[in-house]
Amino acid sequence: MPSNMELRRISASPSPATGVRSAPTVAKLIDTTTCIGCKACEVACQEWNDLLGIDEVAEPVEFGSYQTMPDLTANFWNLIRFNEHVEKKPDGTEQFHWLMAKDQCMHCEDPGCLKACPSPGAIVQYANGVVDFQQEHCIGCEYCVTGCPFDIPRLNKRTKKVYKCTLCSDRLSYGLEPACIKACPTGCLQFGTKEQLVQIANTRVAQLKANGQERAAVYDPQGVGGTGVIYVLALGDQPEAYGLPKNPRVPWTVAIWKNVIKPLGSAMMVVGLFGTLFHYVRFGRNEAPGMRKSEKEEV
Amino acid sequence: MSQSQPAVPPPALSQAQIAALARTQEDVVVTDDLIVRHTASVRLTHWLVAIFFFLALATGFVIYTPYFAGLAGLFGGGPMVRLLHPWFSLGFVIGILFLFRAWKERMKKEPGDEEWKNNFGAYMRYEKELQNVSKYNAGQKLFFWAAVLGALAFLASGIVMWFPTSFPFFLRAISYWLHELTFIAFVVGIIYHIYMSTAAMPGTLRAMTRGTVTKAWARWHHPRWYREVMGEKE
Repeated sequence: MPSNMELRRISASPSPATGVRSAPTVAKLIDTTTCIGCKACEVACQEWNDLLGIDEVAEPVEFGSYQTMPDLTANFWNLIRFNEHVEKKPDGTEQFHWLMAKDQCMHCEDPGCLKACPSPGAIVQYANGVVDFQQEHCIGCEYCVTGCPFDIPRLNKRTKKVYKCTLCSDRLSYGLEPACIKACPTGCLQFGTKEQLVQIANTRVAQLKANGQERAAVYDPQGVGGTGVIYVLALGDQPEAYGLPKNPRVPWTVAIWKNVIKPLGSAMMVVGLFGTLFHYVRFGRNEAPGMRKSEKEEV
Repeated sequence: MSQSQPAVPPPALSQAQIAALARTQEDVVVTDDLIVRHTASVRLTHWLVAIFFFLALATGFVIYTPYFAGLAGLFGGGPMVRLLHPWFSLGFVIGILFLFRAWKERMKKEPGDEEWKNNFGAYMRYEKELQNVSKYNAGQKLFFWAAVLGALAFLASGIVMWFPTSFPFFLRAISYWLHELTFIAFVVGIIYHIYMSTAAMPGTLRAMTRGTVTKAWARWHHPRWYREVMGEKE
């Protein structure tokens, strides 16, 4: 096993994750300003991951958009969203834009799916930061769907397991870049260490600002500890226009459920168990006077 | 035993005859020593509820905490636990509804309930004899109503958790909380329920197995009910 595939986090595990070797955190950069909507990355994802196989093929759906599908599915993990945006010019005219976004797992540093998952080892985070589902341990409860601030995991109805982008962790383990990156013709998708890519993104944002796009910004939301998929957005102050949440975090309801209710509840159960034991030791049995000896023994 | 039941039957009934009586009639004296507390149908319903409860508890514990993940093996693994838990729970809820039908009349407020509540501490320390405890004491009544409400809470939140993506985020979030809080309350309640009906109060469990209790037991734990069954004037 290469060091980048060692485990940094494991879902529902009372003991620590097993990884001891360090590996640089990897990331994907999506420069939405140079995306031309060619969908080569969608095709590459489907091909490499062999998603056009056993299950109902994710057929392109006509819904009045250039977008391939209305939404992600259990066998369609990478969707270019053609967000339609009308920009008001200073001279009063309006101009139509597509705000391209690449909808896929964001590989959060602090993954809400992993936090919510009740099945030991069903969701892991590798040493390189990639968040991956281990379907053989998945029980299909869909807690991760509620835990994910980006609404990414999808249940396959036949296998009753959830699926999402793996960041091509199989390719990464052989030192290859993800399939979508390989296929991108404009270079709007780049792969590298998180550190490098943040630098590249910042340089690109500076360039865009110099060209008059003052609202440009990097999208690397800190509410989830930063993400393994970062964006350069031309309308950086308005990530919602791209379908991205403004300040995503692990839902507080999930955090309280897992961090407060669960430990307190477990403590109460233990107290209840010991309470009855101590009561019995201290006060004994409440026997009715006049009970026969045999009756005291029987149940 | 096809003839009409006398209020106080002759003392020489066989075990089989007592069992036959305890199948259909409750709150009657069947020998000079035994009173029927629960009919056979109530006892069977209660055991069905108990069995489904523990099946749902075991499968629920697997999902509740990884410390009990090993229990999944008893049911064929985690995915089977996810599949079976809602059905076990449905059996539990339906059983509770039947118990509700059988017991709701006797679980209404009665004189003596307030006195019992005010003396709960003394009751638990076995310090006080309360003469006005009816067939069910105020604690049992509270447990009954809490169990019925809890079953409804389990059902409502459980349906959302069964088909989570059919419901919006906030309903899912509320359901996870409600299901878990109800679960915690139920586990604490059930520990107390089983302890009180077995170890702490000898002679109680037979009310749920053979259906009968002794007069001595009834006079001590439920004196008002005892007087009612014996036809004594208040």
